[in-house]
Amino acid sequence: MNAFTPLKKYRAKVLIAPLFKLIECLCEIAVPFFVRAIIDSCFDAANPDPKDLGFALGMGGVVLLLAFVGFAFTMITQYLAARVAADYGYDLKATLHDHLLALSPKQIDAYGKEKALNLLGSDAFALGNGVQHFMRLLVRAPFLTIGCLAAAFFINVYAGIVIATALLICALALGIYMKKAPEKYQRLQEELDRLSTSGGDLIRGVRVIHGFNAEEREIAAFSKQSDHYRKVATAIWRFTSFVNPITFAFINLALIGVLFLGSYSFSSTGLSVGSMVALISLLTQALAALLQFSLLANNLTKAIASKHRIDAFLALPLLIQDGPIQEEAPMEVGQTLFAFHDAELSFGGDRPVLSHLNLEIKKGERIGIIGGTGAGKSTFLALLCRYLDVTHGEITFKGHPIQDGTLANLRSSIAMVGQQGGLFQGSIRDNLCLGLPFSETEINAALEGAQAASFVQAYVDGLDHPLTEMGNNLSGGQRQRLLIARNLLHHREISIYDDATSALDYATEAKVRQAIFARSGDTILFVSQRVTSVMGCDRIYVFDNGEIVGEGDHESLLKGCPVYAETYQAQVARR
Amino acid sequence: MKRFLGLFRYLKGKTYLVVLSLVFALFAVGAKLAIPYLTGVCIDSIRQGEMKIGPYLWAILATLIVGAFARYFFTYFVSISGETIVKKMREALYEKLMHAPVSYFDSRKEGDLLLLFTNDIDTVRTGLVSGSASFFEGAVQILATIGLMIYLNWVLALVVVFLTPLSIVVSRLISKANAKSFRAQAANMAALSGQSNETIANLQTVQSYGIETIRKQDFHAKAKAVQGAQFKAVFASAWINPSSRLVNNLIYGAVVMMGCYLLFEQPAFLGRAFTVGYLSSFLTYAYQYMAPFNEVADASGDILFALSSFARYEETMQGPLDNDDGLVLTGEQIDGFEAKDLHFGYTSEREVLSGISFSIGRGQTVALVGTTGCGKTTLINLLMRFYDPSSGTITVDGTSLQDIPKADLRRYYGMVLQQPILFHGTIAENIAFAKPDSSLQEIQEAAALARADRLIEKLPQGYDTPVSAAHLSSGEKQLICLARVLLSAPEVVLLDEATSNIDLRTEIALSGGFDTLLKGKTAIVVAHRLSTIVGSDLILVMDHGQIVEQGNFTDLMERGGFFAKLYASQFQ
Repeated sequence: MNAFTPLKKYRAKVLIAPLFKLIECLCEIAVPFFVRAIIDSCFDAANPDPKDLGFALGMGGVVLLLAFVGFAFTMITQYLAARVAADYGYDLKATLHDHLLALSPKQIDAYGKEKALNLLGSDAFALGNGVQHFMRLLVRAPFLTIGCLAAAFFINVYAGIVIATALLICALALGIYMKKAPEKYQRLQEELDRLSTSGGDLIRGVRVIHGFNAEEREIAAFSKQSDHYRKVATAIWRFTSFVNPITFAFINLALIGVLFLGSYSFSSTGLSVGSMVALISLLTQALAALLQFSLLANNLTKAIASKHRIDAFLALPLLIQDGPIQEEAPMEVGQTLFAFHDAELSFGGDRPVLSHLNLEIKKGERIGIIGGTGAGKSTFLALLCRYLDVTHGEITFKGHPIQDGTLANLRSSIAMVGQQGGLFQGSIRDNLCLGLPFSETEINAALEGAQAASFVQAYVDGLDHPLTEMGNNLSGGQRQRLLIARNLLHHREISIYDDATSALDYATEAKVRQAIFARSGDTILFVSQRVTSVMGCDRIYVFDNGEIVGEGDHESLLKGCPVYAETYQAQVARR
Repeated sequence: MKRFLGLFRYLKGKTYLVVLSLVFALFAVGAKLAIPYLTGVCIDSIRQGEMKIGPYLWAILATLIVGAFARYFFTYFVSISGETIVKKMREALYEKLMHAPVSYFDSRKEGDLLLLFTNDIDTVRTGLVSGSASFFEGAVQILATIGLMIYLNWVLALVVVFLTPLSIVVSRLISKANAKSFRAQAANMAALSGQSNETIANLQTVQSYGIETIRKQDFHAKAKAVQGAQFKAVFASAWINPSSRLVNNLIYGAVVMMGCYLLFEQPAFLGRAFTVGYLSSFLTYAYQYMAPFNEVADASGDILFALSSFARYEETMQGPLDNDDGLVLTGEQIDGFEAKDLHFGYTSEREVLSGISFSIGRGQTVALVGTTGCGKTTLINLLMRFYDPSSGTITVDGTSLQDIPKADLRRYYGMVLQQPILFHGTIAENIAFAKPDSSLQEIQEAAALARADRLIEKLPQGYDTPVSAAHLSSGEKQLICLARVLLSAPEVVLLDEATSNIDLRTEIALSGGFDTLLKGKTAIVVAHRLSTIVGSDLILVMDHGQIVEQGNFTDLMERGGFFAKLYASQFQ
């Protein structure tokens, strides 16, 4: 699968479109021949039987007619190109979107969310554009160049050789330019990015720079960067400025050649005046085509860069995949859902992110997880949901290695509220139901439990109240309550709350927690930084620096786990 | 035009580059137009059986050499002038902003200012420098071509000149239609981008609730809309090139027909005879005629666009400078702060601080407590002299802060703000921001004190990891910022919610490091956490821009006033 795979569907159009372009080119190449015919038939002193004005005007009329014919045919190409650009663009986006949905969120994090968004936006657009440019513009240049050459050879072999040599040299110069320029421009862009980062640093960090008296140092550093940019840019201009003069020089050298041949062979080989005028026309046309080609090729490099990015993205492996076990036996309360055996996760740094994890989660248990920033709580949850797989050790789910089951089975048994996001543009109802048919009563019960009923009812349109992108028209606390309500509504085998109440005040949180814990038989993982949030759980795991440093209920941890006891002291004891 | 000339300021001593490039432009255009004329002369000579065209060919050769060199230097000098201007402009802007008051940044959008650095300055280059150059070149070429054509044959020249508006009308019509389709396309693409942004940000939710299909359907619907709009937009713009070619070809055909008529009839009022050579020159001119028109049209668009960028830039450059007129130097240490009846508002309508007075002794740890918006951060802003009070004074050792040069005052300070700021560069460079000459060992010690060592060691390149590659959470960034202050070990420490995103246990672990840091130092801490507040020497309780209570924790709790209530609502 690569960026061009979706293009296969449109192969016919992509291949036919240039044929119509070819007709336009033929019309243009034909024009000099008519001019030659006029000059040689009407104004050649050696011609014993010159044609009259009527003939000349007739030929001129044909030239005008050719202009219209060329236009008509080329518009067919334009139409096909636009069609393919839009249709292929659509298919490409759909392909990218499919792949995106199949990747692990952690992979997207590592890849970069901004970059992923750009793939669906500017990159897909650039590539669609590139394809249509190729169809309508890029074929024109080679057609015209080759056509003009053929015409020149047809008129006079020597003149053909002269023109071919000049065009070849021009093409060579342009080729070198097109090969070298993109990487040079890329470097310049990187320099520019650096400058813009520095500017951003100043704008965002002005207080810190002033606070630490670092003004002069930063100005000096910026000047150095800016000077470096200028040097890189100057080197590029020195290089690119060559292109125009070289083509200009060689095309006109060819012109001198043609004129010289004309003067030399006027009597011997019969290079007529009309032929010379025609050759000069062809030469000008071919040069224009070549220049256009170089301009467009420049644009195409943008599309090619986009294609590389898209290819790389589509080549991202689906690290997390289904295993062979389709059916899972229903679990009784008390049976082991998850078991970790010396599980370890490493991203390749000096220390693993999580290590020596040994734990069991049984159906019906209320598990508390507490730990500081970077202790590994959220990463641990990612292992449970298989957004990541362990790099060492093993996790079992319902008795089999977690990798052996299907993702759908695993994830449909888990409902999770994460730390960020989770809401979409759409009504509150759509956000709660996520496509499943829940009754009004069920929804309201869930809202009650999550302490969200009051603010939802306060909207005139209630459940149909629209949320903007990411639910940005709600406060942090409102968002969290809606997400909790969603979890309650969907009521899955395992419910996970990852710091899901951080924006709620103590009183509201207590009520919400009550609703969450009220259902017997549910398996609940409650992750928090507050001891008060987890102290009521059956078992609490204390995470610190990627390891479990304490395990047990509240009382035993107070005695046996210094990390837990300290946290408790700081948060609660001084009341 | 006046604004345009403002550009020359940034050329400083390199104005000759511009003059030279204009001269070279004249030569380049001259050569370009002279060659078809000389060609016509050659053809006429040949036609009349005159075979000695050698001198003419040498003339063409000389012209093309001059033309090629002129063209190279024209392009190169224009680019160099552009780079010179851009460099000067960028550095001037950076320096200007560096010396702008903090209030200037607070009243402007970050994105707008950032755009100045990149887009606006770059637009000035492409528009005002390169754009003006091609405008000049194009205009000269048009005028010279018309002049030459009139010289060769004014009747035929008139035919060409009169047909030109045709192409302008056509391109106007097309671009009008285009604008509409492009707006539709942009709107649809924005909607699609919003949708995908949500999916990417909420991918975990999407996958855990298995709503891939729903998201897919929604995406496809929006992508369909883009597809439709894109087709229209692309097809609309696909008319431009063929239409201008059509017009050009029509002009070419008209020249052929009219030229033949002139050759046959040789009307007497022309005086001079019309020749086949002239026709040849004319045909080349006609073929090249439209290109400069497009160039000039493009360039004028760029120039107009760039002028507005340049206006934005100039406006920024005329912005205020930070006032720093203090003259009194402080001594070796600061003995504490004394504030008397401070009043301050970011705008004249709303006062944020109304009559604040306090006294902080050397070595004291002071906690600022109060609800959101009560003026805590503002007070820090005044202490740092990011802003100055509208009335009242803060003094150190009897000297008003405003009488001390800012840099002299700030060398005593170390601060960590709520929004942790890291700069580009490595983690180590960021920790050493206040003391760039620190050794790696010092940096590591500071990181260890700030409890940032373990998270740094987990990064792929440890202390040498670029910030951009470290993907730090805001809590982790705060730890780095704390390490920065711990390394600089300042006389006065200002912490504005510096640990708001750090979990409590880490904060407790940190406190050891802070105890070391704060020993004998003055600390002013905006805090929302109990642990930070309890141990301080003095708590200033703020409400609505005033200090409503002060004292230590036990005093305030016993008093049972505002603080006790605040405490109860936040911690129980």
